[in-house]
Amino acid sequence: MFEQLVNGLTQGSIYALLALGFTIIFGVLRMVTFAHGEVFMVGAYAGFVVFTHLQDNLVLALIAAVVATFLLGALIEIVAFRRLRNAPHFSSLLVTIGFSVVLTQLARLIFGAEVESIPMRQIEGLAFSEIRIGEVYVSYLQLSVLMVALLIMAATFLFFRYSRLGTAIRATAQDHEAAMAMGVDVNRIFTITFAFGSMMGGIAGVLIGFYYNLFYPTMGVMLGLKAFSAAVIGGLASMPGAILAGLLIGVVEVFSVDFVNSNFRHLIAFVFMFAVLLIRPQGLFGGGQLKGARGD
Amino acid sequence: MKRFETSSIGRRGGLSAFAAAVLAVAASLAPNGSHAQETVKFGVSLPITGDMAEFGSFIRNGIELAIDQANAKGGLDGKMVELVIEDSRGDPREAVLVAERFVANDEILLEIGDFTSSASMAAAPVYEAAGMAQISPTASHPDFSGLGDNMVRVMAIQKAESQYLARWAVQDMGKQKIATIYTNDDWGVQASASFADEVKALGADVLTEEGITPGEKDFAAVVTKIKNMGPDAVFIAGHSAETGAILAQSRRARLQTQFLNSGAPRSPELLELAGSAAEGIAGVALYFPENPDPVSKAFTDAYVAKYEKTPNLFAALGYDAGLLALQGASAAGGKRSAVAPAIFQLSDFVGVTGGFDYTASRDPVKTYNRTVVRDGEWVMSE
Repeated sequence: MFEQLVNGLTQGSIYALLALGFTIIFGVLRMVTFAHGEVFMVGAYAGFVVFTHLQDNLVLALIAAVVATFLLGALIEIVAFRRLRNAPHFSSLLVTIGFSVVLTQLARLIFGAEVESIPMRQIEGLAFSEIRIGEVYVSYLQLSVLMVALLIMAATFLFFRYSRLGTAIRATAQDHEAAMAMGVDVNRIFTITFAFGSMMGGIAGVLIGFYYNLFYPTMGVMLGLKAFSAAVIGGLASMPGAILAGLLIGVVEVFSVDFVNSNFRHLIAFVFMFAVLLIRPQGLFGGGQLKGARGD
Repeated sequence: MKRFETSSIGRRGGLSAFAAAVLAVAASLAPNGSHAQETVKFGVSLPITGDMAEFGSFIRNGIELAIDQANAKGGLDGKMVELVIEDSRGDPREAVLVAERFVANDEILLEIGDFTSSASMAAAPVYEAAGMAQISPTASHPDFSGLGDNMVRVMAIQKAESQYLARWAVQDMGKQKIATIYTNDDWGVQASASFADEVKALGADVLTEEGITPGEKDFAAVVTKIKNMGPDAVFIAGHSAETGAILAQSRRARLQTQFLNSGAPRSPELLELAGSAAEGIAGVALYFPENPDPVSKAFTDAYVAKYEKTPNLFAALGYDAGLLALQGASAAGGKRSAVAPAIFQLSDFVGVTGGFDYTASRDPVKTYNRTVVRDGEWVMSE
């Protein structure tokens, strides 16, 4: 049971990390992006390329993903949102769908449709080492994914709570006109926020890419969908909500495999989400504004 | 060209015959060497994009190799063969749309595809209604060949392979408690069910049958569950990426048992993905690159020379589908509805994945080679 719990939390922490990206972006821009799963994929490939072509160093791979997805996020914000700030919401939505298709196709052109992986022989030490906790063994990589995800989430909270930039972002989220009046460059904040949210996706991408050692153009599709659902269930603008919902969905999935059958994994996960929304239409921590690091 | 297209809409038969005559005259009047070469077109419906694009690209390479070789030898009775390739994404709905475009195009003589049983079977009624041969390199669902008189199968049926593997596990290895993990599509469901039925018929236990969504890559939960059931063998009906990931994640979950596989025969990718976790996995192969058999070896060498890549079973099946299409087309004399009957007259078809007598049955039974992974390499099992 403990093993399955760890499995669920690991899977859930990835949903949570991705959902956090959605939440931060929605909380500030009041917009949903449908390219988040593909940003995740770009992060994974960035890590993969650095690891296989430059140096086989996980930290370097992580940095590459952070930089690549931060810049990509900024680009998406400028093209899809800044330029369309006064257009109907649907226009931006459509542009992000366009980005998701373009990014998938680009990945296919560059890397091919085949599943890429780092030859297992090179990384067996990393992939198969384990840590003993009492009576059970936990995979080192699994634990690393969980730890890095939790660490990033904690860092995000601290960033929003204590840093100047974080404060400016929160101010913009609350009322961007007032923030503008107070001298905050709102356009810049929007771009940085989107880039920051995308970066969370990129980090999740590297973690998952290395955890499964599988890199392929459509790797972000199902995960993006689940993470978006987690963000909605969390309340769409609540950071603790996104994290809790992400972890919950991961755990529900794993236990639906254990108690029922793996055939029902996604079915049960989505039925669970329906149920939550029926009971709490506003989400677990629903409410208007970006929540969780305001000190309220 | 435009004029001919417009006129063929009006009164198809007479006018297009007239158009053909005009073309023929024009061709004979044109100076040698510069006139358009006459062509025969084969439609190809495969996943070119999407989750299954990997398989589509191997199959496509195999088909193109067969067609290029034929064209280099003067083509099909003097006509060059041209492939019209359309992307079905392996999706049944897309495959139907592709089929409708192919049968509506009078220039297309026959069709090769699709990759999945689901897509091939969804498109079958369209081809059957048009009397167009549908040559699927890989459809292994038992029902496919029975859907009409134009469905041609290249792959040996999955049921035979699953049963063979079940007998190997229970009778020869003495396994008694077996679990299965299968890709949840037409093919995987069949593969797992035939295996499980045979295991039960032989008196051993099936602990659980776990389906996984195609494209899914997280198997930690399912392998942990199976580990806690204490199996002495696990059958995986999945392609290289899934099987490799299942093996790697099994190792991580400490599930140590005899694995058997269908769907990733002798795959080098599987070894890359799973590393030492692939050690000991058993599978059967219709094609393997080291096979010294002259037909097989000639294919392997030509493929490596053309694509600088080692072929796999899918490439070999694509090549065989290309060969069957060429032989059928040649015997049919350019008549759509004569292609499939011509193929079913072939009593001694010789392909890379083995020979078969199509007059005896439409469901090829081929000889399996037992293979296992030892020291990181696929080797023949003793």
